[in-house]
Amino acid sequence: MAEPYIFENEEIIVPGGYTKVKFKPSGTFAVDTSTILLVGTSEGGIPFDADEVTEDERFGVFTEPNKARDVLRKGDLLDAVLIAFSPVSDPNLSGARKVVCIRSNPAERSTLVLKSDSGVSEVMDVFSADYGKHTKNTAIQIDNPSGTESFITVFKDGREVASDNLYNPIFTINYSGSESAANITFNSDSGIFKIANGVITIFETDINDFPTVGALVEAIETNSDFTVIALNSGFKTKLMDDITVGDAINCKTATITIKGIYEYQLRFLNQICEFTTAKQKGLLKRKLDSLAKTFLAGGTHSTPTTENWTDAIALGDKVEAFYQVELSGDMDVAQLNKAAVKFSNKTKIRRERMGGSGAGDYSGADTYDVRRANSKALNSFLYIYGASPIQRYNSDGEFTVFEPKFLPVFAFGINSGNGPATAATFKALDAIGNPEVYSSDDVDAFIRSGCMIVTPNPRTGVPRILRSVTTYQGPELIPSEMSMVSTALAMAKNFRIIMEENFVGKNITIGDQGVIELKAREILDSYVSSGYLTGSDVQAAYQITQFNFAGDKLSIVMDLTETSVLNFIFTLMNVSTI
Amino acid sequence: MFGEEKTEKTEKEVKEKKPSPPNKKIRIDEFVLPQLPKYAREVLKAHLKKVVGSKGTEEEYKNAFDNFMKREIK
Repeated sequence: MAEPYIFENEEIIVPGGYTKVKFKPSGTFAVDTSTILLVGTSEGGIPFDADEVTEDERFGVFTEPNKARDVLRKGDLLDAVLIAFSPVSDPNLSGARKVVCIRSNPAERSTLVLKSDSGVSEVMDVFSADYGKHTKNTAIQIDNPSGTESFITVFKDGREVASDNLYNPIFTINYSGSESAANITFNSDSGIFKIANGVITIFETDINDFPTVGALVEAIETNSDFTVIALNSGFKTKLMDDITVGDAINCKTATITIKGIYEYQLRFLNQICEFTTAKQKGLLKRKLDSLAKTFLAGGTHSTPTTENWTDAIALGDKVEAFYQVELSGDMDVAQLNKAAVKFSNKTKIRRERMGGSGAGDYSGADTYDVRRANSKALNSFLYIYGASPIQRYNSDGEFTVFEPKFLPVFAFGINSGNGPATAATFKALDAIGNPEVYSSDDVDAFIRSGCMIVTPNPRTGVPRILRSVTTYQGPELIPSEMSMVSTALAMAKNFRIIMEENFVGKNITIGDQGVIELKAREILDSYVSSGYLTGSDVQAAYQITQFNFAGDKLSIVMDLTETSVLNFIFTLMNVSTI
Repeated sequence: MFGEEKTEKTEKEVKEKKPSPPNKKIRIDEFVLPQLPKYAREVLKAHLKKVVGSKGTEEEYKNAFDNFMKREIK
């Protein structure tokens, strides 16, 4: 079936050239202040606890939605990625540029043991490359139609990946000496390559001393009774197929071809085929038996527990991201995520980050009052809380009501794609609507409690975030407005990294001190020209009040005037008659 | 698998911790959590305080902790 390609938030299936014109975002930083980290469940992808891979491989990094669709397959995580890349319907606004995903539901791979010697030896463990129930539809077929042909085909999701001929002759050998027989044995584990006639050894060596076939052939050729022809000189001798006594390979009576088929079969399943990984089982390297199409078994995934969510969120410490959203819809997990975000922002940790969560069971337990109480309990300028469900098409193209937990993804997607100073307030969402209709009192109560909600634009009917508030419960504007917090964090991160990269570790003379202050002012000036800071005759955009060098330390104190988002227009019209 | 600021103190606490008599009430601060990031431990202690109270037996805290961590969240 032909699959559509997503280009600039639109599914394209008809061939042709497509163009989109966009205005550049208002301002960007030299450092990454746009990556969104999402923690949630999905059908595909490597889970947070996959022991088989390193921690760095347990999260997926996506710069466009099609790859995410291939990897995550289905679930909250994929839906959230699609939202992050396409949060708004306004053609002049963009979505996220990079999204990192941590899969919070534990999952196992499917496996199959492959055998050799007509089923006598188990020689290879094959695993599905991905994790979860869907991996059980991975199948393998091995065909060995002749002594010089071996093919493997892997089947997955209606696709087939077929190998080339994996027959791998590496050298031929013939013995013309006086012994009545010259039987070859090779033990890849011990490395002993031996040619003998019963108890009489004709040639024996440890292949570890001759790491390539070319070197081994030269060594054998020192005995003029052997005729040896290298066919794959660079092949590593330790990867040759094992030859046992039972094989009765006699190079006196015939020219024998030594092979490395097992290694080629392993490479195909482990490196070339995208659907599988494989590793040697036991000590023998022997050509795999033919196998009718056989499905792998054992792939599972389960519902994550609090412990799983805790660990998945903790893995977020390893990710470089500016926004961190968990998609549990659970208040305890939200508190854990908020604690992780606050930890990230500790001066010592040096990882500026905002976080978000949202309500789950909006039609049941998470009543309006519960949502408002949750937001109040979170109470952090670093954290936002989604309180409105949103209607939108899911990753399968089905009309879906997304739980409020997805709302922070819209808000951060807008921020990420258009610069942190871009408030999500009043931006037309790429969504159909909000099934909940709020009274004026409901709206006031939601905003007062720090809940982000969605209401329709009364003129166009398009859903929009009414006000991009944080969960901060104080009266001040900056900590209450998400875009102003994210801009402040972005300015801090940008300043810190540029100053650090330019000057830390350098020897600073008295003359250099002025250069450093000049650089600091240059960075701050860039904030002014980008519109992050603004000043007037009364209040400067920035003022450096301290710039003190003492030994190996530089202390800077500055007052900044951040540009404010416009939330209100009050007009009083005094109308009268003559 | 866990975050950066976490285990040293906990491991020390675990080593030094003597088992409390089953019915003896302890303060929540004395209940030793397994290896977790420090920020997670604070959240979990707050949960245990809500469920058990600021004083409870070790078993009460342990049961509340196990129930909490094994709770499935879709």
